[in-house]
Amino acid sequence: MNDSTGKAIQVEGVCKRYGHVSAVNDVSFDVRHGEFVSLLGPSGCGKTTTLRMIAGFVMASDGHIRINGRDVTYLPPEKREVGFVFQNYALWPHMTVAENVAFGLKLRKRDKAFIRNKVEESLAVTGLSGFEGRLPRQLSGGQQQRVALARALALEPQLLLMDEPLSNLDRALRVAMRRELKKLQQRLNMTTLYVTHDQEEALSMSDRVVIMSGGEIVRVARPLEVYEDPQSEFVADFVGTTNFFDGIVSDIGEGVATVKVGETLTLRVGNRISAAPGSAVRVLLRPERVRILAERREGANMLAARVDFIEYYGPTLRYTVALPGGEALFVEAHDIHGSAQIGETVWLSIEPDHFRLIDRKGAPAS
Amino acid sequence: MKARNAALLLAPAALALTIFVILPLMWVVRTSFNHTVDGAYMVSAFTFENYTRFLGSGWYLVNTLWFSIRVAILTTAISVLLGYPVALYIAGTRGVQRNVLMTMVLSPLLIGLVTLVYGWIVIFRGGGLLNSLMIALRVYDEPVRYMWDLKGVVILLVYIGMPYIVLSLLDSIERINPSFVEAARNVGASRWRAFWSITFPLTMPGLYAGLVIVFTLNFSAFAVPLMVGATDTQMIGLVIYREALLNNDLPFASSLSVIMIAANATILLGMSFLFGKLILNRLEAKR
Amino acid sequence: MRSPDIGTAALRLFTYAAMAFLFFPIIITLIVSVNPREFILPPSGFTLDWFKAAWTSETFVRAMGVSLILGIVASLVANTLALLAVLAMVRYDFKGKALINLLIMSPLLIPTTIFSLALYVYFVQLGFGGGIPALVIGHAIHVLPFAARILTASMQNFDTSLEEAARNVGAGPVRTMLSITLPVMKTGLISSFVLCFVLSWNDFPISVFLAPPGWTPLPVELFTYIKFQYDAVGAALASSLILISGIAMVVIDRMAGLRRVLRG
Repeated sequence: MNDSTGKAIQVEGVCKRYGHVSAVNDVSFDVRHGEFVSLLGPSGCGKTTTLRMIAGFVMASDGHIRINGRDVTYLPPEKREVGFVFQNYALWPHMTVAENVAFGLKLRKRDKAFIRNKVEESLAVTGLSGFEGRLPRQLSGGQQQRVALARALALEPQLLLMDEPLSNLDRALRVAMRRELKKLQQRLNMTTLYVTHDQEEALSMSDRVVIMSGGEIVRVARPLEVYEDPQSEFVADFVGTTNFFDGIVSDIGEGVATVKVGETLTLRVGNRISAAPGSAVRVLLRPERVRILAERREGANMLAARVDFIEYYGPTLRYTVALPGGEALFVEAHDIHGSAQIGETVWLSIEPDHFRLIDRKGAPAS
Repeated sequence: MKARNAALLLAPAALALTIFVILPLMWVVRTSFNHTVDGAYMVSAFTFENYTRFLGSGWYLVNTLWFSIRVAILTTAISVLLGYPVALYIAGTRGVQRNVLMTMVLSPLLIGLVTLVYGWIVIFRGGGLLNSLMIALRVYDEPVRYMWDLKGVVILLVYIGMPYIVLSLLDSIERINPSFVEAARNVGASRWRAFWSITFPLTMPGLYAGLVIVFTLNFSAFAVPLMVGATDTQMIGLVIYREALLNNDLPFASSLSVIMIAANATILLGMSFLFGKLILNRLEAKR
Repeated sequence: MRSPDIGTAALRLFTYAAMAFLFFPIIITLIVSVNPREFILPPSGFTLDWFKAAWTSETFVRAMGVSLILGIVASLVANTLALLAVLAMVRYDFKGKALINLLIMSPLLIPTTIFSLALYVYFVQLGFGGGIPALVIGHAIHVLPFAARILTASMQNFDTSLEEAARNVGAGPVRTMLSITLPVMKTGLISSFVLCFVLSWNDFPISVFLAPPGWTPLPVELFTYIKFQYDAVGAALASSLILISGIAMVVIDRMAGLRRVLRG
């Protein structure tokens, strides 16, 4: 069934409008066979609508959706042959676990022995053997989640769509299920498109992450790239915490540029610089990339700062520090026994390569 | 202190309801064993004659009890057939359309029975609108007797029962998570199949609640048969009314009430067993 | 493109037909009551003659007075009893709550035929069968569960921290009740009163059992009238009842939501 493009899902210029309101606007991306792709974004960004258009619960207003090369844009959901796991599990409350899993097989007119085996197998895969006769309301949230997964897997779909499947579980179970889900996906080599608003989930499980905002795609990249090289303020801010400085490129040297921020601050910023001297840029810096020192040492960027606030997070400490020019900065330190106190002056050391530059559109270049 | 406050607040209502609901009901049971002297007055007694008079008479059993049950089943069934699609449609509407439809469904509940009956009489009587229209359209030549006939009773009981069915079904339909149907479509069910396999079974609690209300209402009805029935529409409620108010035979009317409640309870019990077996036991299963 | 949705279209058509069935007799009554040519449709104009005749008929005016007094007294009694009981039910926890609730709802659970007969038999043997008190009590008890239902809903929505805030600034329990609780519950109380009044105003089955001779409520009078007369004055009277119910529906719907109140 694999077509020559190697693409399990192709979304091309898809839009969804409700009256004059545009929920999804010109969205295009692909999912390759066996790949795990996440749609990540804040609530209302159009990620769930996009997923539901692929499943056929919502009809696209414009654009095309292909599954294994076949155009399914206007196909009703029952003809699409994709697995779907709902946020609220959507287990039919009047059917037992076994009946829930068997329903799709019965619709396909499989014989009884086959159905029995398949149900057994799916429940075994999801660790639910022995729960066949239970009703959904007699199961815990985690167990219901597994039934929902078993129900989708029983039909051996070539494609699994999941809509925030773990968001109704408590944190410990969510983390455990996340790992289990990922292992299962790898073992079955199941092409998966996964909607979540949880960046940790998206980063830890996905081969690639599609980040959406306001109905549009803002970034498609591998998790590492998304975090380390956000390329836009939105991504940098939505995924993790980021410090921003607005500055002007003053000089470009060998692999290192100089960016002036305000009157007093000069940053030495490393490689991958496309900006010309004199252009306005925004400098991004992850808080954990800053080293906090008690005394001045040698380094490319060595900044004096006053500690304003300290928050204890358990594994880390977060300092809020102020630079002489008034710029506030988050610094995350793993050395939780750090000796810095509020009001003290410390030294910040930042490698030039840890800065990221993005364009600052519309800013004065002078 | 707190318990005394609650007791003081509850006392008036509880007392009123005990004196004017519970005691009268018990009194009816007691009265049903009394003796009537030639339809004139009642003497205290302990006799089963009122029960044997009804239950021992084939005529009463067939023409009153069985007749009422049949009419109640028929009218309840028609109300469901009419009300189910309406509830299904209303559940999918929103905004102004929904408000208008809801108002139309609810209005018969707040407009008095006599008022509604008046409208139907205008439409259905011998020289009424429907007959004039049908004769003008040459559907039939002679006026058909709708009112003061069983037809009128059936039409009106359906009319009055339908809003209750729609309301209780709406409660059930709106409680169905839309993703239940989507999940069914996702695993390959057509709209039609998803309706019968998922939506329909999940509306059973609402249907059951509606059936209980409407069946009881129709089985015990006396006002509708009184207003539009023929003299031989011996609905049991109407017989109770006649015996009590026209023949002044309170013991017989009381025994009929006891029989009616017993019959109604038996039928509802059977229904609850049936629905429980079919689906409700599953939906209400404990963890 | 998307296939035309035949299922939904059929459902819509069916629903509109059923709505016509529900609304037809009401519309017809209204039309006949303002149609100058008695019962001959389509209407030939507009007249208020039938209304004039209905509203000047001594029998009807008297019956309206009876229904008005009956409705007001019954609603007052029912709402007072219900308000006190609901206060206890919502604010306090005690044993046998379910049983008390069953008792309060009992008039709704018993078929009206049985309820009316039971009261009739009871009052006859107490010696004042078919008197005005019997009728008023019958109506009050009959509407009590409806009052309890609306007031429970409105009391459950009541934010008790409003009362706590009043107590905190120095108001006593009675002052709090009068200045905070009742004013906040005003809409619930009004819609409860209106609903009870309309149910009593339109009631036929209880009145027909319990109304004493010479003190006949309007629906029973109307029934007697249309049993022997067939003219448009009856339509005008029926229309008056419809209009009053319509006004009540708007009031209740605005204040409490009609559907929540009327459910079986």
